[in-house]
Amino acid sequence: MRNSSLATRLTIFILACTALIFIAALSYNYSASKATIMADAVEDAKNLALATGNKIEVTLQGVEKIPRVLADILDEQPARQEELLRLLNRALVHNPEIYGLGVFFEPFAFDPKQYYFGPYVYRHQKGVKVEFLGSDTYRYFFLDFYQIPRELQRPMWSEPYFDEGGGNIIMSTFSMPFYREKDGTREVLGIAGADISLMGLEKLVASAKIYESGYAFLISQNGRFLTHPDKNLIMRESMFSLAVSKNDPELRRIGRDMIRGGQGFVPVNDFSSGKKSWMYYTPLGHSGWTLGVIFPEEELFANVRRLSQRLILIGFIGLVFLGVVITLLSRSITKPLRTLAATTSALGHGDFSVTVPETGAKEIKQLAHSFNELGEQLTDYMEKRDFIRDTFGRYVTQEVVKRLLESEEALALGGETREVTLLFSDLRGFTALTAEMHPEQVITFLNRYLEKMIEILIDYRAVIDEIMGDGILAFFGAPEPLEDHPARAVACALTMQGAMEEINALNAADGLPHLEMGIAVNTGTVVVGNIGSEKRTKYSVVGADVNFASRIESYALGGQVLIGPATHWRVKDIIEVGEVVRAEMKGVPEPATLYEVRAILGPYNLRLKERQETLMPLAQSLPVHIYRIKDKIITGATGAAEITQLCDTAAVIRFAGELAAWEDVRLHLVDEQQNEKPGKIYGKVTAVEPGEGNFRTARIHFTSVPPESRTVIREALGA
Amino acid sequence: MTIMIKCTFDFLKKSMRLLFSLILMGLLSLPPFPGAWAAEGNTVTFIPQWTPQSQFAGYYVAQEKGFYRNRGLDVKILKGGPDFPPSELLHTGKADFGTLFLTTAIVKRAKGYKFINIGQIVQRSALMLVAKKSSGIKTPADMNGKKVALWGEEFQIQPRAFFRQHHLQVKILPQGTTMNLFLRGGVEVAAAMWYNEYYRVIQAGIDPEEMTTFLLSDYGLKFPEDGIYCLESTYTKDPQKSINFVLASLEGWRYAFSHPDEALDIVMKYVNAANLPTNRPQQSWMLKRMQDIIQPPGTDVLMGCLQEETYYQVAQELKNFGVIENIPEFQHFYRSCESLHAK
Repeated sequence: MRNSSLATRLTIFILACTALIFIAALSYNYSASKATIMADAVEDAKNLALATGNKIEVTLQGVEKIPRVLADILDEQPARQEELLRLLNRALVHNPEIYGLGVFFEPFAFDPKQYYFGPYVYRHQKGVKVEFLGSDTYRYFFLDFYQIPRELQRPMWSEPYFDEGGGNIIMSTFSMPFYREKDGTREVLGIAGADISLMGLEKLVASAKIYESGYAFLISQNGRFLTHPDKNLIMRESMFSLAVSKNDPELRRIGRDMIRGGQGFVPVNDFSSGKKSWMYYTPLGHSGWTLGVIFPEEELFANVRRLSQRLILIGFIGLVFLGVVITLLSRSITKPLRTLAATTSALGHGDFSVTVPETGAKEIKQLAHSFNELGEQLTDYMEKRDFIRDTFGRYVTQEVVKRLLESEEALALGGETREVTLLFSDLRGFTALTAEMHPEQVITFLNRYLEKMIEILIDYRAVIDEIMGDGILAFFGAPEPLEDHPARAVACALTMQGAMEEINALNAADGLPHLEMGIAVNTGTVVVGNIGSEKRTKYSVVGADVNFASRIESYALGGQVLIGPATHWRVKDIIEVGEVVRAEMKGVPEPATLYEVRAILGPYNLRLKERQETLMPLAQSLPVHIYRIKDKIITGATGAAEITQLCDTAAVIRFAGELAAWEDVRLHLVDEQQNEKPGKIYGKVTAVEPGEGNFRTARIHFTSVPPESRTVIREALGA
Repeated sequence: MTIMIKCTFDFLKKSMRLLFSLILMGLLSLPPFPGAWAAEGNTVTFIPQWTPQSQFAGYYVAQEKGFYRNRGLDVKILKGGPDFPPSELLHTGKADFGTLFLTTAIVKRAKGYKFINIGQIVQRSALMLVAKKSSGIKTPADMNGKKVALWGEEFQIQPRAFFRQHHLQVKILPQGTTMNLFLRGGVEVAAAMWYNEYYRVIQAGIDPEEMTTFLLSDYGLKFPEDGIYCLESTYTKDPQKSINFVLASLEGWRYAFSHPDEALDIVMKYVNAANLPTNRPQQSWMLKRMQDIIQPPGTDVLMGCLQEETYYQVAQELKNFGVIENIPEFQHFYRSCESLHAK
């Protein structure tokens, strides 16, 4: 039942209920009909019995009349033979129902000389015959018709008997005693009797029509069958003999009630056929006989049965029809549900664009609608999620995002020790360069650069740790291990430098200053992982080597890729080194050797563009103001200074005053009047050498050259 | 020539003998059929004392099962009834054997009818007096002053003796062929045979519990009833024939008692042939009661035998009631006990 379909469940349940209701109704109808029919049958039986009984009564009473009249006459006065005979003759002729008529006297009662006197007239073939009954062979005193009414002193019908003639005619005699007064007491003088054949009665009873095989019958005062469709029962069997031969004590009980003048409606098994029947019985007047009417139950209830059968058939067809309708209906209801199920499956597989048709019953429509809404919401959700991820990815490397999204463990705070290669990049003199620009311009300017750099970094599978304004901190080798992270980092750096030309071209077109970027690359073991708290977490690196990389950065000139010793150790075989810088760093006892990388061979095969780095002595030195910058603040200026040698990227300046190596400076070109020309050149002091007198020589590498200044430089170089 | 004639004679003699033996053998090997034996005079007629019923089951069974035939008797059973009193038929020779009540036979014998009893069948009287409890009769004393219907003559011996026993004054009415007088209440007491009329009363709707019955043999009036009789001359002419008839009849009775359903089928056949208004349950009851009176439990009298003592008891009662004057001699009356059980 659990896995059965809606159609099955509905069908079973509804059909079961309907069937039950139908059965209940049918049963009630059946039993109620039976009860009604029974009641009707009893009524019918009563009426039939009454009608038949009356007819029989009429006949019997007609017969009784004659002996009564005769007795009356004989009561009054003694009769004379001729008179008596005439009377008898007349009476017989005028009463065709009577077969024989006789008057029988007590011994010597008619004639003191005659022991017997029994004149008897009866019908005989052609006419009427007279006989004087009474002899040694016919001692009527001891025959039932005489003896019983004589002893009981009342009129009665005799127990029917077979005609002596030998035929199968059943006869019965009505005997009426007549009396005389003797010594004050009334005593029987004789019996007047009329014989009738019961054939007429038999015909009458047999003519009663009761259904198909129902019938009426008569039993005598002794319970014997006088009439019955089964001839074998007549006169031979009684209700009591049947009770014995059919082993049915109930029949005996009924028989006893019948002969005692009872009336009733009882169930019986038909005497000959054994079929279940109902019998109505009633006494017939004072003859002592009983009329029974048999109704075969089958026929009695035939109509009801037939009706019920038809009803059952109709019900059955109806149920089948109902079953079909229910099945079809439930299928049509569940069809959208099935579609829904299939579609949900598709949904589950990621296709959120699937929809279901919003058709069908109201509830189904709502469900479909909700489902479709769900699809839309999921699509929205997925879009948002994707947006978040992508946005996330913008701020965090895709690799990291992927990792984070893929597994929960990746979210766990804490890190691991790894060897990674760090890349620091910075725009030289950016702050100063953009100090006088509009903020929107600054952002545009910056983003153009950053966009390009980030693209390259991502290409090289770097994890961009931080973008600090114009500076980028990235690392290679985590979270996914990268075997060639040193080389990769170097290659990336070189590519980044290479891209600067493109950016600068765009910048120049927009009237934006020329940019120079310095990149530092360092390899070392760091702790990399989720740093921070649950509220604010960053996948980042921590370690001494990170700081070291930052320090290297400060030594990197514009357009330069500077790598630390560890990185150099790893890539020395495939790189071309340019300058080698010995840097003294605070807190580091030994100076570190930093290497400028000009090209990487091997799989990456990149090379920095040759730069016009050859300083050209100027015919005419250019006067310039030098401002010293520390932590981006102008801390001072030098004395008079002039550019003696010049190239695109650097200058040698003879100055008076103080300058330290690796110091950041700002240069202003001046005219003859010592007025500053527009354009601030930013640079880094790479070397300071003593000169003559107060003057010293400094070599300054340009980090940022505004277009105006560039023009001047180009002019000065005669290009 | 003589030799030739002699040879011829011898030959003829031999062949005659041969022929004769052949014929004899042929005759002897013929299956017995009535016709053949009829020619020999072994046909006997038998008249039961009433219309066909289980009272004569033994004879019908013996006939149908061939017991008579087996003993070389070709029996013709006549239809009995009130118009065919066996004493008359035996007397006129219309029947060779018949059944009679012992009392009737003694009376006839005393009157000079030369009947002898060749087999006493019913050892115990089945005569009873019945009354309805509703008429107030529960004990013999209650019968005092009541109307009693009795059959005629010899059937009155036992009841009269009973009334004398219990010092009763009753009004006796003659009883007809039905029990209707009793059933309708015309008399309070009626005579009935235990195997016949008593059951008829039950079959007319009176329950046994509603009746008081007095089985006269319980009151010391043990009169045996049905017996097989024939003329003395019939017996003396061919004693074996008579004995065979009785033996076959007894065989018939024994078979009927051990095969009641089959016996009933046979009886009903005779009943239906005679178109009698009776039924199987009635005949079934009758057969069972016949067994009770032919083979009474606890009796030591052999089937077919009549004891001298019993005979004289009965005859004495008859004399007491003035039905007979002289008691016929037992030896003349009854012969056959030893010969019946000689085997």
